[in-house]
Amino acid sequence: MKALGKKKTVSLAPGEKSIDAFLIVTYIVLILLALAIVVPFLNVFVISITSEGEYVRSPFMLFPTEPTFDSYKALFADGRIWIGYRTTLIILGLGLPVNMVLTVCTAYALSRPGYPGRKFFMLFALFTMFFSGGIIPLYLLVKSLALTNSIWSVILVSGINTFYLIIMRNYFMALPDALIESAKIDGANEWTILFRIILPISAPILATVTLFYAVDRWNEWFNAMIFIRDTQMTPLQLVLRSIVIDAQMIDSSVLGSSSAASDSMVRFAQGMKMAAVFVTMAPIMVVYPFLQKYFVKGVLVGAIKA
Amino acid sequence: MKLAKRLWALMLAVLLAAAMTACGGTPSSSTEESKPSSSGKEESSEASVSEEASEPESEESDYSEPMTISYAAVAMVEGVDYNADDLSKHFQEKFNITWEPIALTWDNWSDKTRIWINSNDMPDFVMWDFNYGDYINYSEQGLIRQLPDGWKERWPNMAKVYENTGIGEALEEKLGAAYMIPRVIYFDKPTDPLVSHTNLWIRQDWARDVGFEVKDKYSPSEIIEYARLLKEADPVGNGKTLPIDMSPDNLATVFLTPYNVNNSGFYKGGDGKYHWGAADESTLEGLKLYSQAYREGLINQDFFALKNNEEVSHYESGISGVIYQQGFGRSMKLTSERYATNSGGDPKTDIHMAYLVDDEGHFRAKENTNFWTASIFSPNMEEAKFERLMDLLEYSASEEGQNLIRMGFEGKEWERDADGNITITREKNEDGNFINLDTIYPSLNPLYNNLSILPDDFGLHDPGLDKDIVEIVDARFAGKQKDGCDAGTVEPIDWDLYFFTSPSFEKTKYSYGEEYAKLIVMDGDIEANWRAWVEEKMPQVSIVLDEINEQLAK
Amino acid sequence: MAATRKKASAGAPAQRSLWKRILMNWQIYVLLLPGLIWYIVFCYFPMGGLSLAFKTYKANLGIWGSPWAGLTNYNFVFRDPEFFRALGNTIVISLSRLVFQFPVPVVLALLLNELRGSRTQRVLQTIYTFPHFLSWVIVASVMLNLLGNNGTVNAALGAAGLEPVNFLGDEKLFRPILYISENWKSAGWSAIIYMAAIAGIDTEQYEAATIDGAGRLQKMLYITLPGVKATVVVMFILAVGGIMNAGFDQIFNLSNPVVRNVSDILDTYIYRITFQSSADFSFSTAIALFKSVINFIFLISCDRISKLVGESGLFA
Repeated sequence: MKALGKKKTVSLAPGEKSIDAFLIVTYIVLILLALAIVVPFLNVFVISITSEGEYVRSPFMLFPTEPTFDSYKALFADGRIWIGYRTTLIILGLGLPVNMVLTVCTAYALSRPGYPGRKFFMLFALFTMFFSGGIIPLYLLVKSLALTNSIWSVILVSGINTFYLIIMRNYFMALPDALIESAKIDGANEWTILFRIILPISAPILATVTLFYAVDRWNEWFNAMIFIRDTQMTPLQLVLRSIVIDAQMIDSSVLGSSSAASDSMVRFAQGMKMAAVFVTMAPIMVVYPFLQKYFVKGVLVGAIKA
Repeated sequence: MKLAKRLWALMLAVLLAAAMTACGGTPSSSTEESKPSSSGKEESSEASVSEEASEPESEESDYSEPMTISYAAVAMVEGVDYNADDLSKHFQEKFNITWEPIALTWDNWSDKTRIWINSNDMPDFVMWDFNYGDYINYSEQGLIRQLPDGWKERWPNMAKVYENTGIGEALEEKLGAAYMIPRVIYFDKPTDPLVSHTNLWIRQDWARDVGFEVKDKYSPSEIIEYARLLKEADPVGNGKTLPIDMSPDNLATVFLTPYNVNNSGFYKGGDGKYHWGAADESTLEGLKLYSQAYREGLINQDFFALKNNEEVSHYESGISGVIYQQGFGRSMKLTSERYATNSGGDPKTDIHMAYLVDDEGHFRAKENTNFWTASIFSPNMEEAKFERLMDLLEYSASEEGQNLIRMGFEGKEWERDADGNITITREKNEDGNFINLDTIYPSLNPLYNNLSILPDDFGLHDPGLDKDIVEIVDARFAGKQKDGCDAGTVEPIDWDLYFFTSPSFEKTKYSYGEEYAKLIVMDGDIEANWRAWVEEKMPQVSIVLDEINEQLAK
Repeated sequence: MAATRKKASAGAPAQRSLWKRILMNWQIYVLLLPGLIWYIVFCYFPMGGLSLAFKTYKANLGIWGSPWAGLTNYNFVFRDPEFFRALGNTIVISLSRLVFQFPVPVVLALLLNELRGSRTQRVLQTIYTFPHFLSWVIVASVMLNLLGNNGTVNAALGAAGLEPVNFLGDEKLFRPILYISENWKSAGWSAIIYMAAIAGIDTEQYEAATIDGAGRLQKMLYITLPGVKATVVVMFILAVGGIMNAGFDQIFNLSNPVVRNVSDILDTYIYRITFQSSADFSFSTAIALFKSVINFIFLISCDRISKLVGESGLFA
């Protein structure tokens, strides 16, 4: 593919000038956008290694004169981050397969034409994007399934994301019918078609949806907050929230005279928050480019096949 | 093709492995859980002996069966083992229980407890932020446990806690039974009627530098004057000084209460009828000052975005001129320590605490309730477990239990001489203050500090605190007593209104601090903004006023 | 094969052929089953809770046993000026999002596609997707750092001798900040869907166009864009169906009391009702139901319209 692209530009002598102008503009726009994203990230990192004194006094924060890792020390002093990582990885490891199995099977079934009730099932799924009973009925359900305080509550409650289901179904539907028809003539059954014919040429959408689910899992917090009580099973985002939002842990004066002032209050709240942000981001920064490489490869494989 | 196949195989493998570890994981974790309780068994006989010694009247204290009690409390941190330190072990072994701590944060406290209680699935024991409307709902539906008959005789220390809160009895009269034990703040109130400990914290070093008098009390106009001088002098530099650094709620208190203590809610007027304080002209008077301060740039221009007492950390880093913060001994100690570390200044010469008065020098406030949060119990817990828990609470409210919670173990962290004088023997920091007890026992703050009695009362004469701190706190309370309680400018609690609820009423519980902040930042004249706002709210409010007047006005 | 048969039997008596068709497709139903069960258990079972909109919730009696309250809950809703303000804000913000946010990922995907296969594309795409991993809590605290009156941007303005701008406390600026920050955070991520769709375009088309002497811009407009049109339409229908969800998480974290007049949307209103005063789950369910119905009506209408203009829509 790469070679092909290069060949294209080389062979295309007549319109080359205009192409370059357009390409240059594209580059400029895209790089500016990238800068707009990188700078705030840099800001986060810089604050995380700045001492409080310097942070509050200096008008600009480009880089600290005396970088310090105190915020990181404070952050790792309690074991919360590790518990967060462990729980989130468990949720990812158990949840992703559940998500993908459910979504792929359902999306494929919904993409097949001409069986009774197809439109109904589609509506059946779509309906749930709009109507939900609310948190109490959901809680009562999880309770009646005896899933409260179990990691499975978080996993099963978000089994299918209807939006991703629709995306995947649309992709399946766009695949050439001839492939399936010929397999049918050869006497293949539906799962053979799904696993042997459809999935191999659906790498782009599988990669995309897996990634989407993975990120949802990574950002999971509300269900875990409500369903899981064991403090040893707190997902990363919940840990992050409690650091970022509750870093200042003196009680609110709105509550009247109170006295639960906490000594676990951190010294430099802003620095610690930013350190927490950075620590939760770092693994993604390391892992994601590899995933992305794989993902882009998947996209290209799909492109060639189609 | 191969790629997808491999992906697929991988997924299935992970799923399988996951399912297996999950199945295998559950039983192993449950055995882990039961381990500490079985080891606690050996101690149980000894525990019950000491129990009998301290409480002869409790006839049945058979703690041979280990129990796990789930306890949800705020300020707990996920992932910390609160069962591990000696203090926590002492309590758990004494009653042969294992805590199953459930962390609530300030942010999700009400969300979580509401969902759990409304699903009839609350933890055994919950630290609950009392709300009358919810209380009525919960108790009527049996979602929280009714305390058994004769509980006051059986657990007298807890009965004492309950009686001293003032609210317990009043509620019991209304409902015919008790469903919670409020957590008492003071047995010996520092002022009568009780008022808040919250105070203005200024920077006396800066005040001296700009030629502003350091006093024990200030009025809003004086605060503005101080802020003007600070803005002019900009002691931090680069325009980074935040002369007045307060959240919307605190700004409303500081600028409005001296003019109208009822600025955020309903009150009974001299005519015997109920009124809406936000619409009083005296509220406008305060708002005008507030607006003036904002427009002159004296207030932190981001005040409306301050979260979770961020201004306190500004003060501790030495960039705030005045904040409005808790004024009990412990908070003074902590703030002093952090101020010293973060800003490098000397708290003794820099920090100063004063109370807020009106232009005539009167301290104006509403009486405070003598409780903060309440203990509620699951109706689904077995009787024996409830009794065990109550025994533990009873012990925590006893003299022995309180000494343990406030000072640590006798002979280890403190000593008593023949005359009963107490000496603290725990280690000191490099700055010469005692290290905080909850540094030694991490379980202390979330689990025990607020368990039945809040630490405020002890804080008034805590031998572990610096003498100066105790004196300052005392002096401020005395000032409030003289200029407020004795002068008759402290409004007593209107229990009728306190115990009023209706669907419309609940929906007019505005966040007044935020509403006022909106009016302040809005363009245009403050008076016009305020009048338009009052007019907008009036249709809703008048319905509520009619309801209240119909039921309560005489 | 199945498709042709279906066409042939379309006119035949329904009863016999229906069973036959069901039997013939039994494998599809088996594949459908796990998903169906999941939907029934985790979506439809709790949906009974929607009846709370017309009830007074009593936890001890359960959802089914709670007493009916008729339209009382709606009486409260429709008397509250804050509700109407929230409703208005929701619609305005959602429509503006369709204008200012919806096209951005499409354009971004098209532009990125121009760098197809290059290392730069990979690096850029990675950068664009990063903000999506951050939750709004964090983005909000970063933005406060940058945009506050005491923040970096205002410090820079001050240094340049300009008047400071009250970014966070100005009602006029709040909504633009919403759209910009949402684009900042999610445009790169949403572009992934379009990138995947672009990947599905037949490469021969490009080659043919190249031979015909088409430039980059032309190929983009005449091949790539039509190639992702179907995806764009589906995404658009879904976006319209979310017209009543104006982005709770973002607004909840970015707004402050000062801009509430322009920032309060139905979801934040529901949240306040549910958790901030005395809990009233019936009341919040009533509003949530109202919201869902409107959303659904929008979705179905939009789907119909797209079919009328010749697009395939959601149910094809």
